Amino acid sequence: MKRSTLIIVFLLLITVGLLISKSMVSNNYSTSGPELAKMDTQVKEYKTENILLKEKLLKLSSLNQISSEAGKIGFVERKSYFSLSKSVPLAKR
Amino acid sequence: MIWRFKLVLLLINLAFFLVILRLGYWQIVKAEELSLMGQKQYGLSSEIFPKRGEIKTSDEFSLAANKISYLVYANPKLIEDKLATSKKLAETLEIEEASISANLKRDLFWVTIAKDLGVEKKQQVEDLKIPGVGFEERFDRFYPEGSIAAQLLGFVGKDDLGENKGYFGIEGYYDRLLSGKTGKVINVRDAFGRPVLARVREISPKIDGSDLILNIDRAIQYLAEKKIKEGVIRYGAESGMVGIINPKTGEVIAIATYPGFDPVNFKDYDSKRYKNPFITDLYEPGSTFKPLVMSSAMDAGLVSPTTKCDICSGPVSIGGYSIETWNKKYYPNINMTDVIRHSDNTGMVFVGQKLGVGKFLEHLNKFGIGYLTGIDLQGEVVAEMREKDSWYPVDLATASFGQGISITPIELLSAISAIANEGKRMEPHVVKEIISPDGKRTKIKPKVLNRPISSETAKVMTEIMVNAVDKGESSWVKLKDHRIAGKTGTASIPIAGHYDPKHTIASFVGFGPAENPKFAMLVVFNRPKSSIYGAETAAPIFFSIAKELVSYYGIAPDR
Repeated sequence: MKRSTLIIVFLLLITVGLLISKSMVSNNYSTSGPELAKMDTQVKEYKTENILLKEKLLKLSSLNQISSEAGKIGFVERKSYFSLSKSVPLAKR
Repeated sequence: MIWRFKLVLLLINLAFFLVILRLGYWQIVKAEELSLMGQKQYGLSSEIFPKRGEIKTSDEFSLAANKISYLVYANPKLIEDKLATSKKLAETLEIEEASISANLKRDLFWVTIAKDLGVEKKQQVEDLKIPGVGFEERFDRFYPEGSIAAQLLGFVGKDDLGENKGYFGIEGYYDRLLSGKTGKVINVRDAFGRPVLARVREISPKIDGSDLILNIDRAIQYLAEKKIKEGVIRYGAESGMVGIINPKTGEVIAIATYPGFDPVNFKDYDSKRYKNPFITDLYEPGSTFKPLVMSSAMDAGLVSPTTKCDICSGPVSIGGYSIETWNKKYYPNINMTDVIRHSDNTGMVFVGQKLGVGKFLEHLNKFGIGYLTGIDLQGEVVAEMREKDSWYPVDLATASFGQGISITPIELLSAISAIANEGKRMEPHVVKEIISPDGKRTKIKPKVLNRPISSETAKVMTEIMVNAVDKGESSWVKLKDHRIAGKTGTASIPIAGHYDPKHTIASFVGFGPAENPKFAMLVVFNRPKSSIYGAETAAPIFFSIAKELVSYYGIAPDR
């Protein structure tokens, strides 16, 4: 076989090989787009859920809410204070 | 033959030159236009709105957070039965069918149907499964504590372009930091103009706004709001306000005003309510101003606590005006300690005359009177002091007891805090820390502005103010176990060239505990009706808040 023929056959083989490889790779990755889009949507949904839950949490832990709940279960505002202004003697002779 | 080669070469060069020229025209002169044309063919450009930064109290609880809302839009070209669609949307969104129908009839690719939809409403519209109807996610302000600190926070409205913009208070002052930067993306389309979901090209990224951590203590702010509201109702005042700061650092712990407004529905309120009166309302401070004048004279070595007043045996006549005491009682040879205790106007005229206009203005300037305090809130105002030459003797006399001089409450509180802080005046600051979107925290350090009086003068003045609380008109509400320094104020209100004979501004300013102050506070009531006196209106509210504060801070009794 002539040298030039060999080169042509070699180039043809390489071309066919690369075409097959490309088809295989494309086949493998062709479903990744929708998967990626699905994951993006999921991330977005979780983010939205986080914000909604945070909103609920803030509402429930606000002082207005706590004060109103405390009143319902019987807590009352402190009206008088006491403080230990002088040291109390332990014993007197 | 050579001339032919040359001609061909010239023609080829000319052709290349023309190509280069054309390329230059496209790539330099027409670059932007062509780029936009390309983008339009390639995809649809849209904006990504950043999340506005949150405003949190010192315990990192959000006073102003974000909630998700949705904008419903439609592509009229994709909607076949416009009438049926309008009807369905109108029923679900509870809006006029005619307005939706009019929008859908427009020859556009994108029309707004409704704004500010909650998650449930959005789901209801989504369930209709109408082709050509979509949603745009947006963030709206949400206030977990309701209208608490509304005038301190400000609100978020719209600018001329319909974009979110902060107005008043913290939202206004820190708008650029809180806003972030709108991003721009291109949704890539295929040859038929259909969007390729997985292909979004980002032109400029969105940058979320920074969060702000305030010095505001949520519990104290809540307490102050409650007490000032109670006070306004109890004393029949037109309005009331209280400001509490840490005199050692200038940290603003609370600023509460009543009446306020609802920052979500701010449009339902008179725009006058948007301003925070603690930084925007000029008033004559009356007797709460006396400690500043007295400490100035003491610092200048012109009087001492035992100096006797030799003009205090009766009304003082100056420039044809007669200056009297508030209760028409006179104390001949009264000393300076008792001048403050009895809030004696004639005694303050004596002090003012000792100072003279020059020293009076010089010392008040050092206290920051006539200058902006530099508080980080939008809308602070100031009344500049008049030039020295335009002061008449009677002006100096009345200004010595706080009349004929206009200041803002924050100006007074900042100046009184200098007495509490051993003579050092701090810059009042609402924001403690800035958290950038990447989590980097930047602390705002306390800033010493100047030292209007020496620490010795500050100590003496503190004792005089403690004496005023213990033995003065407000002694009936003082704290039994804690030494609080303070001064009452009952100021006349100037109206149309004279003073209102019926109404006053009643106030009380002070700090505690006297030895090692944790708070400085100013309570002001505008035109109280049940009593016109500060000792009977502002003082009880001051001490009722102070009582809670000593308990909250765990301050040991010092008597």
